Amino acid sequence: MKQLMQQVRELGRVTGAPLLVRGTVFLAAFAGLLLAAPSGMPSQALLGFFVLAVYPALLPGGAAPLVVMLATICLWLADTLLFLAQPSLGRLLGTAAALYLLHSGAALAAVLPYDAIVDNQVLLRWAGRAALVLAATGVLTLLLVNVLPGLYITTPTVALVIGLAVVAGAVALLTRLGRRP
Amino acid sequence: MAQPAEGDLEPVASTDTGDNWAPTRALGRAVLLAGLLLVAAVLLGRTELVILAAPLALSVAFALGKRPRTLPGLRLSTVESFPVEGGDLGATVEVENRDTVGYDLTVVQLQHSPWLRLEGGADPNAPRRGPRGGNRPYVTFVPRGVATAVELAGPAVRWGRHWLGPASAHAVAADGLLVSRAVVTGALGVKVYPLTDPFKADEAMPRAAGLVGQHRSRRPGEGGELAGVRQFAPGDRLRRVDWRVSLRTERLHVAATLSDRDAEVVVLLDLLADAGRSEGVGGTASVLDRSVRAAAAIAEHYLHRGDRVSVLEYGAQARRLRPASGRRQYLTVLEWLLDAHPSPTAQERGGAQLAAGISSAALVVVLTPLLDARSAAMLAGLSRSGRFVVAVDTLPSDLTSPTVNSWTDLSHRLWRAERENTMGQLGEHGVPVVAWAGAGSLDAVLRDVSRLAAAPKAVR
Repeated sequence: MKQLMQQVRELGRVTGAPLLVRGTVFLAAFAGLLLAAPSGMPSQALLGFFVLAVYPALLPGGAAPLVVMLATICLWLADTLLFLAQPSLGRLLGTAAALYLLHSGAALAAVLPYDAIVDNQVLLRWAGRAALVLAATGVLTLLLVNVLPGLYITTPTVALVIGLAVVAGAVALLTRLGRRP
Repeated sequence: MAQPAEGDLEPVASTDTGDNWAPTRALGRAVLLAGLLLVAAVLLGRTELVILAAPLALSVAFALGKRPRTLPGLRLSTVESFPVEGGDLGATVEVENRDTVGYDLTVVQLQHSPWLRLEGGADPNAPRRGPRGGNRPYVTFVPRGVATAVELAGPAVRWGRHWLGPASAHAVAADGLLVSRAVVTGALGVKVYPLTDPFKADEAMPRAAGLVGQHRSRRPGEGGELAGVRQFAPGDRLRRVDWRVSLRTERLHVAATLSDRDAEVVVLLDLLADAGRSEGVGGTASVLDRSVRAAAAIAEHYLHRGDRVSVLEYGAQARRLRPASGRRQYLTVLEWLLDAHPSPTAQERGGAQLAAGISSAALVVVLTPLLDARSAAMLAGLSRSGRFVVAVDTLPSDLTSPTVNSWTDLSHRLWRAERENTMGQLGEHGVPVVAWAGAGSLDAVLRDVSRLAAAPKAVR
């Protein structure tokens, strides 16, 4: 009981900027889940999505963002593989942006103490970087759409092996960047 | 007069071992998800999964292209300008980025005493919104090669020795994927002097003893106060000759004056017990607060008049400040008072023992809440040994005891009555007890004490 009272007292110390970032995390998570979910979901699912989206906003430093991002990807795969839906380009880009914003927002929220007084420039720069990354993704998407015959292609075995090698190379590069002193 | 005080800690020399910066959970998450999505894209042959993975992979590649290596530099400084209670105090925490890569943000946290109400932000000119202050972290942007200062300012609300610091900072770079080790500075001590209640006493000192001073003494000598006219005697100064009287009487007469003397004032602080709640300047005051502020006011008043003042502590530590005069002594008294803490003790010296260290001509002002029976005994002992004692009651008048049961009020009243009885008994012993009320509160009592001092005394 004493601990609860202490936590309630500490709620009064919450400042605007961390609240804004966590709000963004919630919105991104909720929007991602809604966009990725197959159409015709029951209304109870909306409540579930809501609760699931609150989770990373409350605990951005833990495994919550990863769980919600995995859930979003699973919903997307279920819709496209099981229900054989053909999602539009807008829906695809929206989901990608929501996934990225959830990841980036949670990374920022995890390093911002909840009662911190935050310089506006920090948030503006962060938003600028996020916009840059999303713009680059948009350009990449347009390139892929124009170069490849379609969004959904069946790959021959040779292409599969080459693709896997490319993926392994990309992941190794990213990991090496992370570990590099 | 201001003197800068700084607590500076250079970070450990940066090494390229990579220990200074650690990856966050976000880095692992981005790499894992991007990898999973790309593998799934290839296995399932779905390009759309590449697009889902693209922003994650791109952001990691952008962010880790340039990595920071050195730790941020941190510096804590304050300008100490002898603040008194309620006065403003300023502190600056400076974060320096000595790297070739800008930090996304730096989280700066400054610990300080709760009696220092320091507030501020990264931009001191920014309009203030919402609740602020109270050991909050400050998040600021630090570009490469630039130092950013977080300015904090606010009042120090209570006297004493307060601590400012340590300050700590950790930087976040690469879009929140890397976080640095925390850098910590040392702590600074801040002295806040007690606010002196206005105090003024016009009455003569009971027995002025020194050679110089402002008090009219009862001894003839060189001075400004006319004592009478008498016949010239060998040794008298010619400029003292009263020519008008001499011409009239046809004998040389001189004007005799009373000498001007200084006096010794001993301020005795009873620190056996404390009571009440201290809320700093402007709030309710505890016994200790009242005692210290009253002692500072009394010392300021008498030192300003050129008297010698010494301060004694009645408690476990039994500290003592030698008598001296002047502004320097005033500053020493203030410094001495900063270390006054309630110090209950089982064995305490009696009034007679205390009196042995006090000049017989000194005026002893005892600041006591009269909460301990030994305090009353000490006062009586001092008075018995022939010192001029005035007791100043420092118990706050609005002191209330927490209600435990229906008997609380009655017992409180009984205790009050008993205390008044003790004060009455002390009065009979020749120790006047006055409640501290600032300016003029000692005047009436000092007048009585002067009269007592002038009266002939039976020698025992």
